Amino acid sequence: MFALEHAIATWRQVMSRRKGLLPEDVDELEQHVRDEVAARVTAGEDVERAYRAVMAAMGSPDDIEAAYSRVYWSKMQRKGRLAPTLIQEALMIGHHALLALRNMRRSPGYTLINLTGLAVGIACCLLILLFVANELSWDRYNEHADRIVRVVMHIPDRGETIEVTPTAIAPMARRSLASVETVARYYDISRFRKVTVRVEDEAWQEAGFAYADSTIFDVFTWPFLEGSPATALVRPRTLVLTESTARRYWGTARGVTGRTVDVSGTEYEVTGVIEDIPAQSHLRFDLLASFASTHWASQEIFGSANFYTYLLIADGWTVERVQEEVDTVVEAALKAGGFPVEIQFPLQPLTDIYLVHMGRMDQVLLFAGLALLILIVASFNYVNLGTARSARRAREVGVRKVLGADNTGIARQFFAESAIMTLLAFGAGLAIMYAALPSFEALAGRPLGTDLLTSPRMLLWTAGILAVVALGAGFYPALVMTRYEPAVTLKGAQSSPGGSALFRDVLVSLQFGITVFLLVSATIVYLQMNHIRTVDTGYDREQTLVVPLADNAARRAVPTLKDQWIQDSRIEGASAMVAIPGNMRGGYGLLLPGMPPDADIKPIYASPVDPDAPAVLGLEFLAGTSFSPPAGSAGSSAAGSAGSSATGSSPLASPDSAAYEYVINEALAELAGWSPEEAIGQRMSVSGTRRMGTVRGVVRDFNFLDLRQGIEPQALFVEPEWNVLLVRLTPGAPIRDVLQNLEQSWTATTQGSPWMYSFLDDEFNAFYESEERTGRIFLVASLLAAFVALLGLTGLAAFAAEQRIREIGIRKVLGASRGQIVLLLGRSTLGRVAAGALLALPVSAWAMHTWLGRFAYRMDLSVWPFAAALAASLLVAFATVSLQALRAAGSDPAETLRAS
Amino acid sequence: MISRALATATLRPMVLALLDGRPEYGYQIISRIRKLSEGQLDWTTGTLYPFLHGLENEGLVESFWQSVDNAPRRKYYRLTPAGERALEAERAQWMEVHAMLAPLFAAAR
Repeated sequence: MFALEHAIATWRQVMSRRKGLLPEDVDELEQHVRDEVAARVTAGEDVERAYRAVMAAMGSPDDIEAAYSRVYWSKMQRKGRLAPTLIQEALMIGHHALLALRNMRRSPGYTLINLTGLAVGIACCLLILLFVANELSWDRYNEHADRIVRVVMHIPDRGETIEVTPTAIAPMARRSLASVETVARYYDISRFRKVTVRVEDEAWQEAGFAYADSTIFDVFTWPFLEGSPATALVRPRTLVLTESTARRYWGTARGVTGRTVDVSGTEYEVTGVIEDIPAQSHLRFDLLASFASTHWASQEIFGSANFYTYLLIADGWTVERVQEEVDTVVEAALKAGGFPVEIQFPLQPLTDIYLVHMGRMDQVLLFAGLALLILIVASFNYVNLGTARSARRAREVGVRKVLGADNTGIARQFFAESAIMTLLAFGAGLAIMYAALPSFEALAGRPLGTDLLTSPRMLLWTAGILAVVALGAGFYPALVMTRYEPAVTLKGAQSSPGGSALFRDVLVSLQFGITVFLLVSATIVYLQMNHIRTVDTGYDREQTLVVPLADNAARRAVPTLKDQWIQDSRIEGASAMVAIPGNMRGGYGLLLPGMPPDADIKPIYASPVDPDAPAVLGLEFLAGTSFSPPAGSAGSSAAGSAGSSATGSSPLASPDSAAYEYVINEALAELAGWSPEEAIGQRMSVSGTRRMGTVRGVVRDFNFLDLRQGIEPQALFVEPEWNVLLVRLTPGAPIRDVLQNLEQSWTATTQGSPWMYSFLDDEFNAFYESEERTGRIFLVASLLAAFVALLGLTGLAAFAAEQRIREIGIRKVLGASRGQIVLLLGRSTLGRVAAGALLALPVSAWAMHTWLGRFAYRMDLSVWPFAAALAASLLVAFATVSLQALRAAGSDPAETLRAS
Repeated sequence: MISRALATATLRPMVLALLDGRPEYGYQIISRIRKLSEGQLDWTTGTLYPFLHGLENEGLVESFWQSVDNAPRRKYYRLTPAGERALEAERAQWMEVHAMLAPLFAAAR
């Protein structure tokens, strides 16, 4: 018998529970049902059929709910109930939060594991974000950053792009380019050597001395504390100082304009003081002198390139269109000048210089990837522990469902829990981040401004990452929980953990895969750095001092100093040269007699040195001998000391002489087609028809470039183009005493040129600093990832042991040993860890192979770093599980079996 | 059968026109739409009510509960001045569309 009232009451109950329907909405719908049923019955239909027809026309509850939900919020607003409704929602969230906190307090161990892991992950992410924000902010301090481009030079024939340009580019751009608002050249002389600046009675060696056009201040934003940007660098022999340089010289940055400083023998007037250049700037200097002070200022040639050229693009022009203009103008000028080589002048936007052209993007991506991996490992912990323990909460979920909670409500509860966990972890992560900031700055090799942390973009990113973590970590537990059937869980059946065990296994495997990957990478980067440090570079770098020759006084003093020092038994020898090995980058062209004059000149490297260089560097002669000692030599025991006059330390009078002597390396002999023995006595030149000379000796290849590059042809010749003085100490000499003596004689002989030195092996190591840093970062990241993964494993193992506590009790009663129980619990874990590790091995092998490809000198990839990482992770994972298993195995079966 | 898109577009002028001049409650509106369209417009009743609420949110109609002649209380809807203007705009638009299409269709025939 169909009862209309009963049917309507039931239907009402269903509709009332739907979201978006207010009680008055249900009233309205109910009246509709009654009206329509009544109308159909009047028309002669039977009540039950009428009711069913009306319900059919009504549509499904889901559709109705969806339609009501669409108008819900504006309805609340219209009725002035928006605020109360929002408060109600907020209270609901508060309720969820309260439940979440209670649940956390109930199992503090798991909460701690989750919190620690997430906090570490979040702290890493924050540090990386800060780092990335800093990297992306390079050169952005310039007001016109988006309109500044650097002109570089590209030589298609050699496939080479160099960042310096000829003198001609800037004046040409100023005259003929409509798209260019202003142009400035910048010449960094300290790229080649340091300069000596004398202020009153003090002398300073400066590595930050540059020349620039007066327009440089229109291009870059360098605020003046004193002086005027418009006139500061117009006259010859004027310069501008940074604030801290002025303080260094005079103790103040005020009232110093008009004073004079002496730069390598030339007087300059200070015409301005500017604020220190921000750390995130690719251009850095301490003193900036007027370009008009140089003789290049009057030149306009394409022949030699030493100058950075910057263009400020006029408003409304794109880089592409300016490039077209530049190409057209340059092509015409080159054609008019009859320039023989094809060259192009590409433009680089200022904001790309650091990231793209200086190759920093790699490191940014590397850091970001590492942080992401750690965060993933931490999130997996949350998911795993959450679902593994879900069985405990199955009953809670069952009761809620019976009391009318729908899946949305249950899911919300679990998302609220992950959100709260994430927020707490964020707080802890923030604290960790601040604590770790100094060490991270050391790791990254640069200071990081924390004020970027509160920039809108950063806040957005932080909020985004937190949301992703909260949703990502909450998703799977929520999915698992909503699937529980209350009828099953409430019957009290011992419910098994929710979610698929396979899924958890996969996550654990991935965690350890990531950990092993990082461990292998860290090991190999470390080994490679070690390999480089100990590789035979073909020259000696032990016990060798590098003394920069920053001014002419110092250069002139070299022969005298060498004569003095060679008397000292603690000093093996000294030699002046153009640059230290690793940095011998002077480019020349090899010419052999008999080659046709228009033949392609082979590019080679060559370096002006003094005659003692091969001995002091410890180069090994394969054939021939070193340079002949200069005429009128003091006849010392070493390969010879310098001659009497400053320029006469070379046996040659001028580059036009044909009496040059060369010491070449194997690679050059090979290039020329000689065996080492054949090479001796051959005639050659490194610069066309000038510097013609004879090969005196062939040395074994040595690394005059850095170790990422292979060994290229190199010729040493004697010429007083020196920027450094190398002093080789006798092994075991008391360094401190020697240094004192060296400094005394230096100061006396150079008439007060500042005394500075470094050690050749330190300089050598500095070349590989960025790789060292990469190595350290990998090490820290892999240890963190391992730590977080082990935390998670501890949690899972503790849970597994707890779940099987009765099984363990029974086994113990039946005579199982502790060892057997540990093995029982540990075996499955080992399987998962091994699976992840095996997956990681080929990936890391490929990644490391690629990375090592950057080095011309690389270690052989052997099996053992992989094996070691595998063994270590298995061992530590097993130990972690065993610890938990031992605790379980140590439990008293009488206790565990009685408790229910 | 009238297509879904066109039916959606028709609903708004239809409801506004039905309420022009006199207040009506939901069931009345729905049965008049059914009668007018002769089953060509297939709307589930459950979604028509939220549509009315939407018009109310826009301020085009207003509602009140009333009991007439001892009948149960029902929720009545009537046009607001804004609703009358909206109806006028709808009417103008539909007539315009009609004026555009009519000669075309006549020619095609």
